[in-house]
Amino acid sequence: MNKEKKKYIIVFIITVGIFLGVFALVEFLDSKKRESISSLQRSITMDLIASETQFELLKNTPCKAIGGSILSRQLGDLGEKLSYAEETQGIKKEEIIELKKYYSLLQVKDYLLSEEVAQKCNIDIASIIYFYEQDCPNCIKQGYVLNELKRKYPWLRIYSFDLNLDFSILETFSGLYEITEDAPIIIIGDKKYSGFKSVEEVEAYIPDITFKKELEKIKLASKVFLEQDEKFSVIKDITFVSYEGDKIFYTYKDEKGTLKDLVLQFNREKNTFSYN
Amino acid sequence: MDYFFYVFLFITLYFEIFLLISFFEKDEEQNKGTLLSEDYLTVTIMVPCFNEETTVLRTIHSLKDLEYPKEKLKIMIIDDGSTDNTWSVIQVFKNDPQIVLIQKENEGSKFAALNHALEYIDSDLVGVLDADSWVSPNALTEYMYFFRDPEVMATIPSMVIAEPDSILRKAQKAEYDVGLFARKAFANINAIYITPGPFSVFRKYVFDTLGPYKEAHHTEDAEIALRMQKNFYKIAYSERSVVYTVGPKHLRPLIKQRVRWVYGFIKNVFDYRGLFFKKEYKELGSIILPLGIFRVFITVVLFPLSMWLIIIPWIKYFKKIAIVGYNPEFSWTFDWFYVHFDQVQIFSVIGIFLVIFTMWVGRELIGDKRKYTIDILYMFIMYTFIAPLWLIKSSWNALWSKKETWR
Repeated sequence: MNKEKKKYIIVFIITVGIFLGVFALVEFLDSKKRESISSLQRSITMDLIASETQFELLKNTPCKAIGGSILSRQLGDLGEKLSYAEETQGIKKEEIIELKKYYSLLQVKDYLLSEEVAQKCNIDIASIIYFYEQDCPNCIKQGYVLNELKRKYPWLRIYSFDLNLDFSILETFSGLYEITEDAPIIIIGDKKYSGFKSVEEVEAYIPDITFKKELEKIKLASKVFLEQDEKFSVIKDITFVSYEGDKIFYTYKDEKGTLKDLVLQFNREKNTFSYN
Repeated sequence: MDYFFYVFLFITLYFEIFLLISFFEKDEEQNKGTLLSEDYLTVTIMVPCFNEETTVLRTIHSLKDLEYPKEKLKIMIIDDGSTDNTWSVIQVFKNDPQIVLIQKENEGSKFAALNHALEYIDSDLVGVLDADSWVSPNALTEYMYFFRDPEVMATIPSMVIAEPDSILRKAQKAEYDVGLFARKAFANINAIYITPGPFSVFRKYVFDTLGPYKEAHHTEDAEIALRMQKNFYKIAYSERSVVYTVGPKHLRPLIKQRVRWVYGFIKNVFDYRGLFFKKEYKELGSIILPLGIFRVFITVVLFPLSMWLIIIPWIKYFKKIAIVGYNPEFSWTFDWFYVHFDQVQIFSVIGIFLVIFTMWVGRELIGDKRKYTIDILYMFIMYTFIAPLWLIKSSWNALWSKKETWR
């Protein structure tokens, strides 16, 4: 073989090598992604079954034992990864669709379970149900808003569903909310909102957030009130305990160091406090 | 579409690796030893000018400053019917024994001016130097090491953009530095297919045997080189002979120049397609000419693509900020899941590294040790936003044989 031919072949081998290397690297990264997603799925499924079982077992025990711990926290993580994978096409389209179906199923199950817990234990679990579509510019914007809310309020449960997904459970679920409008649609409590909503708008729709915001305000105001009141200048260790209606409960230590309760009554009309 | 793209990518990568390997092939140790006085051949340098009153003096002075025996170097200035003061400006050399002044009527092409001058020349070597370029003092002497080989019929220099004073010129500087790499690689496998206007020097024998310059799609410097290759005339590259040239300062002239080059390249290569895949033309016929066009395309497809891939995430990021405001959040938890590459992105990165690397080795050739310069960025920007314009236009013109005017 002459020198030239040898060179052509060597260059060819190097080029093929680089090509194979690149494709193998991408395949490796993608397989890691699939692995990560399926392990997340497994652990969420596990969490859900565990929660259900725990719930069944503890049916007659006080709700305190269940608390907020029953619900899987990894669901949001999975959703984020799926949407990233979908965006970057890191995983094949057909696979993504299957994964999204499974994700939707997990979300519905999680939602139902959390509703049940909320009802039985009489606690409030703030959740947003979000329906979106493919090729909908407003949905991308709405997605940013919901991600921002998730970041601001980690306790908020956001369930998102792709209306284009051909999946019977999803159809039944969206049927419950009689969806006829174009996406984006968000459902909070039993209210339905369609069209793009900004961060501030969505915040205003969530009672928990407005409530908590108000609480924060009143808490702050009551603290200022206590600091300014002469009677309380001698006492120490004023600690906020809880809030109920317009009553704010504190504890404090008197001169002898004994722990005592203090109840502040907030007067909404006058915007002042009184105490017992 | 995907497969088409990968085939295209494969060929491009093959070509680049082929050049890289050729570049590092051991080159013949030609320029060793000292030159004897008979090694200094008689030379005539032709300087065609058309309305170059501002630059021609610098060009002529650089030729006069060449470290070369005065009695063996003649400078022939051809005023190609300039309408400005070129003719009166060059009159200062009227009585210079080294310099010959010729005035002729403009015929609208450079090759006519060169052929006109060729008729007066009887030296061993004939060179060309465009009136917007100037040479380093050692340039011609370095050539003589190559001309000691009787097979070498022409020698070309290292072209460098002089004193880049605008972004566009800085971009061209980086581009020319990459060109030095390619030139060396081509030279190593005896596949130089262009003898550029700035300071290519031929044996007079070339014109005596192959005939004068020809009308060749306004790129007679490519045609003569291909004609030489066709006749197995060897073209050498003297990397230490540096020639400075000025690139177009503004966008429109730059595009016009490039459209002419690319169009001329496509048409000339097509005219000389007889060289393709012939055993006797070796690498030139099997790889360089048939695939040369891919080198033009690498920049036009891969650059915009990779730039686009870099820009997209930023657009998304700013869209997001516009909606939810700027809330920086620093997290130390790092999830590999969010590191995403696809094949095209990786190839783009490989491509960019290849370009930067070849620029470095190109600079090494002329003793320029700079590595990270802003020129690189400018070049990437030029190739992303401007190169597609000239490529599309010249391909279109080539397809329909629409000629660009020379000036």
